[in-house]
Amino acid sequence: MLSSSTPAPPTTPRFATFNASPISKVRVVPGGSGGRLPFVTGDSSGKVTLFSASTTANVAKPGALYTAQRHADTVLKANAVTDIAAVDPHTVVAADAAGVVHVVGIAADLATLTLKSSFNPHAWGAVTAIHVQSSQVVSVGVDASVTFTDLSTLKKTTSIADADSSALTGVKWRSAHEVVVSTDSGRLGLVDDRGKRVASAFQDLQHPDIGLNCVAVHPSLQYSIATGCQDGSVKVWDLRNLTYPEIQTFHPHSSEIWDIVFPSHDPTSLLTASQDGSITQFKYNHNNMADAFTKHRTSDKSANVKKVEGLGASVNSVDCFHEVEGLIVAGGDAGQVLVTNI
Amino acid sequence: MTRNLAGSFIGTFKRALDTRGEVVSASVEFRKNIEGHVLALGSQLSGGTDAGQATNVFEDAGNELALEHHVLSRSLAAWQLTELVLLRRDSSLASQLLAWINAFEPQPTRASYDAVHAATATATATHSLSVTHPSFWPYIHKCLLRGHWLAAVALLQKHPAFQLKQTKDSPFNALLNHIQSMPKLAQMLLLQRPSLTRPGRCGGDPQSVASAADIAGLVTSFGILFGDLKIIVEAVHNPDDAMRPTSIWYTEPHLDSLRTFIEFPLQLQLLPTRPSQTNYNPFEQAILNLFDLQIDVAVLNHLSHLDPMISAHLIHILDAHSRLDEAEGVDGYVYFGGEDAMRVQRLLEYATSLSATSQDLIWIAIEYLCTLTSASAKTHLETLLLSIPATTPFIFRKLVSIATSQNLSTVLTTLHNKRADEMKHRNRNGEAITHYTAAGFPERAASVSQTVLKTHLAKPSTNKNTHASTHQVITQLSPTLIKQSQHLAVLSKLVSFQTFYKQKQWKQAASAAIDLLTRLPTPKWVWTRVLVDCVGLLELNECVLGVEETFEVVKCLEVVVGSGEEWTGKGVCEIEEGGMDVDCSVEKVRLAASRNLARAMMVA
Repeated sequence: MLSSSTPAPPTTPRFATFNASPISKVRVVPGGSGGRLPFVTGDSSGKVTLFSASTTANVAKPGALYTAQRHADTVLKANAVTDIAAVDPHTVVAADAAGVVHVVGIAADLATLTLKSSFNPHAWGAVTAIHVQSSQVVSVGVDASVTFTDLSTLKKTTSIADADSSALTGVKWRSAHEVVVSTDSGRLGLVDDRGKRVASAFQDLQHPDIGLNCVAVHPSLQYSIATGCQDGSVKVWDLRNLTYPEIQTFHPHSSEIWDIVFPSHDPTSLLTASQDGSITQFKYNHNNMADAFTKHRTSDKSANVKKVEGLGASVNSVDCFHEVEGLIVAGGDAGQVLVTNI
Repeated sequence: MTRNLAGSFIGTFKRALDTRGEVVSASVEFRKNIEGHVLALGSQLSGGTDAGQATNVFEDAGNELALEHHVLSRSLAAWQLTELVLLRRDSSLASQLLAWINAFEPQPTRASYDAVHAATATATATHSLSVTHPSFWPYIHKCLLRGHWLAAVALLQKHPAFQLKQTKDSPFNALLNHIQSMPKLAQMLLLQRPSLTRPGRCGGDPQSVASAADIAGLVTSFGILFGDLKIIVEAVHNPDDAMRPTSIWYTEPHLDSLRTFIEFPLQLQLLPTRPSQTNYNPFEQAILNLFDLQIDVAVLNHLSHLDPMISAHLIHILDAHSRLDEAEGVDGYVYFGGEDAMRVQRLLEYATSLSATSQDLIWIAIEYLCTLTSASAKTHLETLLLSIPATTPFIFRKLVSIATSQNLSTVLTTLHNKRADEMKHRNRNGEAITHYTAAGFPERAASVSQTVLKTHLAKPSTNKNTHASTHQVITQLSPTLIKQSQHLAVLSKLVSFQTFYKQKQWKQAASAAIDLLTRLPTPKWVWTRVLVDCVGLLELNECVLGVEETFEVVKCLEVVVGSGEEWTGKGVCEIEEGGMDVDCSVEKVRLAASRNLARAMMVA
């Protein structure tokens, strides 16, 4: 739900920096050092920009605001960036709305970004999400296909067409050979890169019509999958029983959730970014307890629910820095970049 | 007299409400009426009041003429300022403001000028390079701060340094030249800024800078002209002195000076606190005090072009402090913006200017428009939403989300319809049906459904592509949607029938077949296919179709035969090797049914 009053830019500076165009994706680049924490943004004009936040602390101060320095950028053929994935400290891959995946190099001194190569993994339509593991890139798109590409050769190793009847919206590696995909029609699918079809597909029968916008896999418990939904809810799927998986549903937002992350320093919580202009971090649990939000209101000052609100326009993406506990970076429709610890 | 002026006011405005140009003319005419009256009053006042002398006319209650002169003079000043800021755009606002200040603000007193002038003349006469009068440079600075260029030049030229041999590059000549070229954009001055830390760099005779006081005075003068905040802060002694330079120089700003314009009052910390404000924010207070100078319109217009984010902040501050509320009007006065309140009008103008400025600002414009409830805002919002190409599901979902929250049914219909057309073109029939239904075009959804059904039945059930396509449709659609469409309901049941048949789950297959024949609005041409497959069920060793169900099969067969529907003799289910003939006649179905009926009666 959009705000009912005039959008309120913060009265005190709260943003690390601003990008000229709306930001569609923010991703942390691993391996920050010397107090510099690099991250990249992709925006609607097709530009990938390299920033870095500065801090020497190991733990981010709650409520502290960090600034970001812009280092370099490169334009990916002027098509909106749809997703970015970090390969290593010197390489990221970025997908665009024309269905092309680009490999971008980062200089060691962060001074330059170089477009190294590009490839088209899908027959038509935009690439909606990508993820990288070892040297394998998995991409999903509007054409509902799942494609695995070897980064070293840029050759397609496997392609599964019609993985679902609707567009695929998110993908994450779950194990060495398996990925989990989220779909626009509310299904969660498991796909093996050695197979020819979707291995399993799950749907929340209580809310079959609610589409899934994004997906995240628990860093250590691979059976625990989280999805951000079109109605502002989060579903946490427990896939230990593939016949009857269990689902917990939470309602942290009032509008579409665009990005969801298991914070690396606290994977018992989830971090979400939403169309309603807020970022939420909340505790979930594996024990099938009631929806945390029935007990904890947004005014709850406990550690279970934390929110950053009043960010004006939609927040489209969020990610966590691995080097500094609790530090997150987010970007949105106003080009705002926020680096903070909520 | 006041009643005459009031009559003139109303009469003037009533004659000129139609066009902006005529309103300007009316305003000028009325202002001249006031001006004429002020001059007439002034000439009646005895002694010729010195504009520089302060008199408290309100204490002199007996002097009604003086009181009227004072009130009307101030009214004239306010009217002219409002006119040149809000109505006139035909010349530089900076120069107009300068003219206004020189016309209405009291000059530095004549007495102080005379004293400084006399002291300077003495120094000149004695060829002394140092100016002894302590007020010389402060007076120059006061003139510079207030834009009194002529007074500053006249006094400066009396400095002994000008009586001596001067090179062109001397700082005195440089200062004189800069003052004489005012007002100019601060940027141009910055480009010409000489270095004053090393007087020798200015060129010329080092001896022309005679004293430390002269050097300090020159540094401060240049600092004021170039908008050096630190120097201006040190030079001013009251808020009026501080605000004048910003209002004159920065009404035609570039971005750097614009930031100075915003930050300057904050650094000054000379501005009064509004007593009603509980949460005092110096930055916001500074902005509000700037707007007290009533140059808000010019500032907003320039800011929108230069830095929309700063403009957004300013509009938010104004709105938060109720400064965008609907203006009260005089009888007969029509606000140019139309029926909307000023706040709504301002925000609407701002939002549309944002979207026109850059595609990158379109989402911010949409956010603003979403907060407005007026019909014009909704129209603008619809236009903006439909102008954004939904190239990715992400953008499509954003547009749908906004349109849904704002109840823009037209936008939703258009978005879903476009999406459905695209998906149909790509042969993604499930999504096409979903979007046509969401768009409110059930007939188009039904058309696609019928196409899917015919395609499904046109090819053998072993055809993997057909199965994939049908599977795609069935799995895409929600149970609710399937129930709403007869073709989809039939297709769904047909797929179930085929699946049970293939898996040799005969009872379930029989139940599905009966559903297709009796409970669902299955087209007759589908009946002909299902009835063929019923032969396999009827000839099983076990009796899976009871008496009533067998009667239903026979009844349906007779209906089909009697309707003249083409009998293809082909079924829909996969046939095992060695099974029944591919072509099955009506008689074979009748025979199988009668045999099963006999068995079923015996079982019953």
